[in-house]
Amino acid sequence: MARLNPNGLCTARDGTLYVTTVGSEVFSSGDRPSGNIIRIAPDAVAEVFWETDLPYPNGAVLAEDERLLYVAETFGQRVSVFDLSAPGSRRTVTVGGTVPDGICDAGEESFWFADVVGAQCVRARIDGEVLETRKFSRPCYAPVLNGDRSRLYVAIADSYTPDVGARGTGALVWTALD
Amino acid sequence: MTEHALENALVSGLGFPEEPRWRDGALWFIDNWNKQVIGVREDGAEIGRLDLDFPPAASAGCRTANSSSWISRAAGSSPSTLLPSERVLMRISPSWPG
Repeated sequence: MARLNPNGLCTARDGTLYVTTVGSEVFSSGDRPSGNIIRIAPDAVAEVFWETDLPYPNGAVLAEDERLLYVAETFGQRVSVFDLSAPGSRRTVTVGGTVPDGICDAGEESFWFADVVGAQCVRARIDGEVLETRKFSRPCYAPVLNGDRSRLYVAIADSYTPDVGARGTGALVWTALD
Repeated sequence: MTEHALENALVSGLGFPEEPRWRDGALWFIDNWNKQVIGVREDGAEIGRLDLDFPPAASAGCRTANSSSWISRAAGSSPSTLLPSERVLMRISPSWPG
C-alpha cells in the first residue's frame, strides 16, 4: 500500500489518520513516480485515499473544519487541496518557483507552507492568491501557527542531510504575525 | 541583502527539525537525525522528549512521551511503519520483513 516510506501525517478529531508516502527517494533523480495518500480509520482499516499524479507528497494537514485536506508536493512544486465533502475532487495551488515541504492550516481556506529553496514561508489561498510571504535565515522545512495565530513557528536548518544535521544548525524559530 | 522576517529562536542546536504541531498549548516537533520527538512551551520550557531508535519523518504531536501519538519513520530507515508512540500498530510498507 505504501509507496516507499510514509512521510507526513495528520489526524482528524475522530482519530482518522492521513499519511503521505513518498513514491521516490528524495536523493534520487530522473523518474519521480507518484506517491500516495493513505487514510487509516480509527479502527485501523486503511485505504488508499489518492494515488495519481502526486510527486513526493510531504506535509499533510486538515483545515480546522476538517473539510479540506492540504498536501504539499515537494517534487510536484505545488499544494494539492482535497475537498473531503466531494470525494475524488482535487485542485492544485502552484506558487511559482517554490518547493513546498511542511504545511499548516491558516484559516479562511488558506494555508502556510514552507518553501525549502526560497528559505521562506508562504501563505496562499486555495484559489491561488498569495496573501503573505516571510523570509527566514535558513531553508524552511515546516510551519505551524500557535493557538491564537499570533506567531508563525518554523523549523529551519541549513540542510536536511545527515552530515549537515550533525552540525546542529537546525532551529525552531518564530516570527510575529499581524 | 535579503530581508528576513524578525526571527526569534525558540529552540536551537537541532539536527533536522520537522513537522511542528501545536497541541494543548505547546509545540511538538521531531528532530529527524537526533531521533527525537520534543515538546516545548512558547516560553522555551521543554515539557517532553521521546527518544526513538529510528529517525522519524513526522509526528502528529503528543501530550507526553507515553500518550497516544503517531510517528512515521523517515526514508532510509527500515522497516517503514507508523507507530502510535512506541507501539507498532500498523505496518504499511510492502518491504516489511515479516
